[in-house]
Order: sequence, then C-alpha cells, then structure tokens
Amino acid sequence: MIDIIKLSFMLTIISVAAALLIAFTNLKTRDRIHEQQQVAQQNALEQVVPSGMSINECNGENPPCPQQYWIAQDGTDTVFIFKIINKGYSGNITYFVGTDRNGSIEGMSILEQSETPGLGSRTQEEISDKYFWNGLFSKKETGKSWFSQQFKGINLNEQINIEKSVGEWHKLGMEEKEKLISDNAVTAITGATISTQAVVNGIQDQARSYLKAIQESNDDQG
Amino acid sequence: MIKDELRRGIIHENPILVLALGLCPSLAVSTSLQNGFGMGMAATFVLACSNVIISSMRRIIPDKVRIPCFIVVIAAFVTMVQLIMKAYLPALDKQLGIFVPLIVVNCIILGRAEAFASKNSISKSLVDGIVIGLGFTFSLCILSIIREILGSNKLLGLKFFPGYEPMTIFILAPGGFFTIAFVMAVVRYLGNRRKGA
Repeated sequence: MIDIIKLSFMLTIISVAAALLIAFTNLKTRDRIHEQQQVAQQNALEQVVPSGMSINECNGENPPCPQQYWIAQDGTDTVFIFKIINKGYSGNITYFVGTDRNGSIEGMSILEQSETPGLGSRTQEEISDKYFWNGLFSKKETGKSWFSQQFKGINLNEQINIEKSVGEWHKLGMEEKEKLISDNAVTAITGATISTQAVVNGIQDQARSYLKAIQESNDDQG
Repeated sequence: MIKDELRRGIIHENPILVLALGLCPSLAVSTSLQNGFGMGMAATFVLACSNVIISSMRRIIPDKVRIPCFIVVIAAFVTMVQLIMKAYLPALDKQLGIFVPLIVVNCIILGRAEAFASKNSISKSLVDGIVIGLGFTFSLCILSIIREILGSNKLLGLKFFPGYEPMTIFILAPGGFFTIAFVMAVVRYLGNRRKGA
C-alpha cells in the first residue's frame, strides 16, 4: 500500500514538472507562433491572386457567409478569397481559393496539410524539370505547386471532374491542359485520389455556397 | 574510441537494419531523401537530449514505474522542441512538422532510454544517443535514396533517370518493406562473409 502511494507520488511529481515545463514553453512561444502563422497565411493569400493586387480582409455578418474572407481588387476586377478546411486522408487540409464573381477560379494555394509524405503531400509539390546531376546546386524555383496551378480557370459553380486517365497535369502538353479546362476537370495525384477528392469537394461544397451567399448579401445592399 | 562508437551505432547496433527497431516511422518517412535525412537528424537530436535527461534522472525515477516516466519525459521534451521549432524555425517545421510527433512513439528512443541511459553515466548516454541516432539517419538515407529513385524517379526533388517510368509501389508501404528487406539481407550477407573470413 505504502509502495503504491510512493510510486504514484513520484509519477505525479514528474508529470506535473513536465506539464509546467510545457506550459512555460507554450507561454513563451505562443505570440511568436501566431506571428509566423500570419506570415504563412499572407504568403498563401498572395499566391492565390495575380501579383500586385491588394488584399483586404472582410467579415461576413451571418451564416451562410463565411466569418472571414478576403477581397482583392484591381480596377474593375474583383477576386473573392475563401479559406477552406476539409478533411483529407489524414487530418485537415487547409487552403485558399480565389474566384471571380462568376465562379471562375483565379488561384488556389495549400496552407497546411498532413497527408502521407510522397503521396498526398504532393499537393504542395513543385516540379523541377532539371536532372539531379546538373540541378543539385542551382537555385530552386519557388513557384506554385503544379497541383494548385491546374485549378486556374476551373469554374466552381459547375461540377468539377477529376481526371485519372491522362496522368498528372505537369506531364501534359498545352492542348491537353486546355482540354481539361474546357472539361472543367483537374488531374488526380497518382496514388492520392482521396486527397485530390478532398480538395475538390471542399471547393464545391464550401466555396460555392460562400460565393453565392456573399453575392446575395451584396445584392440586398445594392 | 570515437571510431569504435561510430562503428557500433552505424554497423553493429544499427537500429533499423540490425536491431529492426523503429520500422514504423522508417516506412513512413523514407519516401524521399529530404524527409529521411530530416527525420533522422530530428530523431538524433531528441535521442541525444532525452538520453541525457533520463540518465541524469536515473536515480530519482522509481524502477517500477520507469516506462511511464520515460514516456512523460520524452513526450514533454518533444513537445517543447516542436513549439520552439514552430516559433523560430518555421521553414524547418514545415518540412518536419508531421514527423516530430512521431518521434514520441519511436521505439528506438524508448529503447535506448530503457537499455542504455537508465544504466549509464550522462556522458556515455550522450555519446550513445548520438551514434545510434547517426545509425538511424544513415539507414534512413540509404532506404530513402532507393525508394525515391525507384518510386518517383527523383532525388532531392530533381529528376534522375531520363525516360524511366517510376514504380509508385516503392513510395507505398509494400515497397518500403521490400526495400528494408533487401537492404537488411545485403547487410547480413556482408556481415556473415566477414565473420567467415
């Protein structure tokens, strides 16, 4: 009996000490982590719209409007940007979708995902066409991932198809890419259909209704 | 001395290829060289530090509840490392983010805590953590080079063979098992041949 109390006491002390240390670290790093997340979010937002557009944050008043969305304006062009969170193969995928008034997608960028490395994580993959032996020490391009690039020009008000038979987007020629857009289709990542489907579904379910809700509330005011 | 220790960690007590420990995270992360190396270095760091902490606490921790104590210490340490990385090294965190929580349940770390750090001095435990971690990193690198080239025809994200159609199965778990089995067989063969000679 005494033994059990002694053991539990030691275990409690070690756990409490560990918890205090974590709490202290959390307190010290919290603000800084928040700042870093803001920076990451800003970068992801800028990838969604053509460069040079200024992005303003807006707050939707009541559902179905999203609580937080962004509007980018350049002359008469307006791009609405929505933050979408949808369940992927493992954990949530968080991404931004920019669309014009008619639902034509301007850009897409993945903010966070925890998909399988080498498969679903390729939603963020940037393709380099250099070969290993001469590209290793040259500068890496930091463009957009091929997966998000293929969403440009897709209309979210119509059914978005997932094309699995033609291979991945980055291997296709100009004509095939144009055909995909006219079919309102994106290519799936090989071996990661669920991740692809999650991104597409999120756009269809969430972005579509957000866009509709915002336009309706604007119509009411105008 | 250092040479002997390194040989022990990388060859004789190699965690993946000889002791067959930590196969789970190895399967998950050895899909590309960048991931494999990153996970290896992160695990080495945590292993060295947790070995030091556990070794310094080895007289306080009651023998009967040592395993829960080790897990609490390792988990607390990993959580702190993760928070600090998120705050000050966001680029590294983006690369390794999903692997760091995996380190908590990595049996190599618990194994070294139990088998070595709880019985040896702090300096010895530190050296043990580093060499075993390097052994882990080394075998992860070998596995991931093979899997990345065969499975996605790339190395460090750059194309490798012209005109080769990659076999996706090598990126998936079955390909990981094949690769581990083949590399293990080669290591065994070389080891046996040396013993015979």
